[in-house]
Amino acid sequence: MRAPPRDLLPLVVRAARIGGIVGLALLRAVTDVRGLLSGVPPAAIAGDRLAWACERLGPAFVKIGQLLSTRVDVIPPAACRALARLRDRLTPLPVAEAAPALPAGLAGRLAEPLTPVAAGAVACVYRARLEDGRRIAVKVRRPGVDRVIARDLALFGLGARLLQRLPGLRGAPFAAVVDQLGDALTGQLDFLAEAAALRRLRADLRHHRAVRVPEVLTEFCRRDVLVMEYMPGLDRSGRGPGRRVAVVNALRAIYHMLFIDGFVHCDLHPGNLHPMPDGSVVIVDAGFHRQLADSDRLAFAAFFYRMSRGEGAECASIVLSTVLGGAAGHDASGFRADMEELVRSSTGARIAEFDLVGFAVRLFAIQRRHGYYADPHFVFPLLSLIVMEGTLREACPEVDFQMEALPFVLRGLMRPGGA
Amino acid sequence: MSVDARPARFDRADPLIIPGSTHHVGLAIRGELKLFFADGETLDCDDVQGMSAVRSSDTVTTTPDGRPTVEVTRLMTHFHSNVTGLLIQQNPSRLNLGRLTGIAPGGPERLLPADVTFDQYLILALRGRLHINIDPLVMEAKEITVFPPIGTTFLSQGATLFYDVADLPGGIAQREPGNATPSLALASQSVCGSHLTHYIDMPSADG
Ligand SMILES: Nc1ncnc2c1ncn2[C@@H]1O[C@H](COP(=O)(O)OP(=O)(O)O)[C@@H](O)[C@H]1O
Ligand SMILES: [Mg+2]
Repeated sequence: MRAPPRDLLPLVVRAARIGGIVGLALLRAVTDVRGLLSGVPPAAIAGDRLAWACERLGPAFVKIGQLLSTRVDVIPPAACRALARLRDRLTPLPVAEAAPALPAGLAGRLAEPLTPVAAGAVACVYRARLEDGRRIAVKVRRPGVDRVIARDLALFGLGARLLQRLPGLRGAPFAAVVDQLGDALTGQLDFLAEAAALRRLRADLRHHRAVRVPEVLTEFCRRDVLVMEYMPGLDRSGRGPGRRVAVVNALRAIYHMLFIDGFVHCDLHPGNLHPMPDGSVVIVDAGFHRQLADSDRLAFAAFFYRMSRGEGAECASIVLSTVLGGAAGHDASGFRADMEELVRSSTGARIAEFDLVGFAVRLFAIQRRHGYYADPHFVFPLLSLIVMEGTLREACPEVDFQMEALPFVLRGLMRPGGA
Repeated sequence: MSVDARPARFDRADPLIIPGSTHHVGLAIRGELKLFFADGETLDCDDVQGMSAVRSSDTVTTTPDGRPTVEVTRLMTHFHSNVTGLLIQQNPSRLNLGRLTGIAPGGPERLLPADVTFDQYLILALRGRLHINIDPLVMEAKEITVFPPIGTTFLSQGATLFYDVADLPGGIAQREPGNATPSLALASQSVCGSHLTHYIDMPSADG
């Protein structure tokens, strides 16, 4: 697939700019003697510089940086933490520029003008009121952002495929990772898909009274505009007397989604998951989600069941049934032995002390050491749990996450596979 | 073999009574025993009580790190919960083996204090159906100082899935779930306050 020279030139210019900024970031990372001397882990410095580069390189990179910040399976945790600071708080698109993007049917029915609420690299959210008094939130995609992202993704894919050809990196799933990131990113550009996911989330969680997902006003939605019920008070989330109750409510809803429905909101960071002061929970932004196949949902639940029983050998078998083979030289027996040791050392402690991030990092390291790469079907739910735990622990560290999970793991296993 | 066969001064904390002993104890389980069902129902069986019998092997062996250890067999499990109607019995098609291992290195005289663990295969009767577990329900107690372990906390890690016997072609003897979907799960964080009803046949090792 050779691009004609006319189209190639901007790509080359862009690649040069990316190379320049990334190079500069790396240079600043390796020359950060002061940071290194003061004991900051090199991965944290690199992550910090990478975040800096992403901010300069635009929306695709900001989003990719945010997504990477959740990938403890591919990047060291210290770098993940540095990247997680990449919150896209940008200047909102001026109302005068956002308003023309609104569908005519909506513009004519607004009782008050748009007021900016939040602004990210990809979209801006505004608050407004309909003639009938309903308060709405309008998420408007920044004009042209889809083209910028498509161009960068094309470059990214090219780069990954080149990297994969290098000796020593052969078999590493760079291209697969970029493809997944690309899917996740392009998925977030399509607000019709996001609207459908919000509706699905809202329907699945309707029995969880305390969990609120904004209602979508489907008739006003387009690929670049998402109109939904406005959820007030999100700026006060994570605080107040009810937050412990809210955290427990959130956990139950999320475990229900994951283990029983197999529908996963993969992006439950503090901007999207809000334990409210009154004990309720608000979930927004279903742009990045996955529907697990029943067999994957069952494997995932079975893994946690075996973990809770301290059965490392069974855990190893489940993971082996999901991993993708990497380079030649898989070492199944070495993998099993390490896995048993990992489960033994993780479940020896009280269940409340179980550290999911630490566990996942070691799990992924063991896989790599024995020549396996984690199957995305297994990785995504695990990563979404990690992101969610981070968010909710921040709001309320005392809750026993594993204890709350167990009933849902068990019920998930009691739900027969669809196939 | 009678209730009164033991002298009253008999010391249950003497490790030498363990090998070759059989005891029947009445148990009152206090604490949590929860049943989870597929439809989201959770049944709390907090009033479970009943009888249990255990025999210990004659042979004391030594672990690789030098501690005395003896195999124990659960001969009978018969618990019920009046409130929920749950009846728990032992699955007679499987052995319910366990092990008692002294904490300190040494011979049979160091059997106590000890850690004990049991793999239990049970039949739960509830609401007209029978359910069996295929993964063992592992019950453990740490650092027991008397045997039978009276007043000791037994815990089981995690939870155990149970299958409706009607879904298993091999009935209670089936060893693999096959295509069956679990019908319920049991999680117990039980504290056993037990008292001894009677001993049968309890020679001491040096006797
Ligand atoms: N329905 C809503 N009501 C109120 N505020 C909202 C609503 N939806 C989003 N927001 C606010 O806007 C922010 C950005 O929206 P989000 O959908 O998460 O966009 P992005 O995909 O850029 O992360 C959210 O973090 C939240 O604070
Ligand atoms: Mg968001």
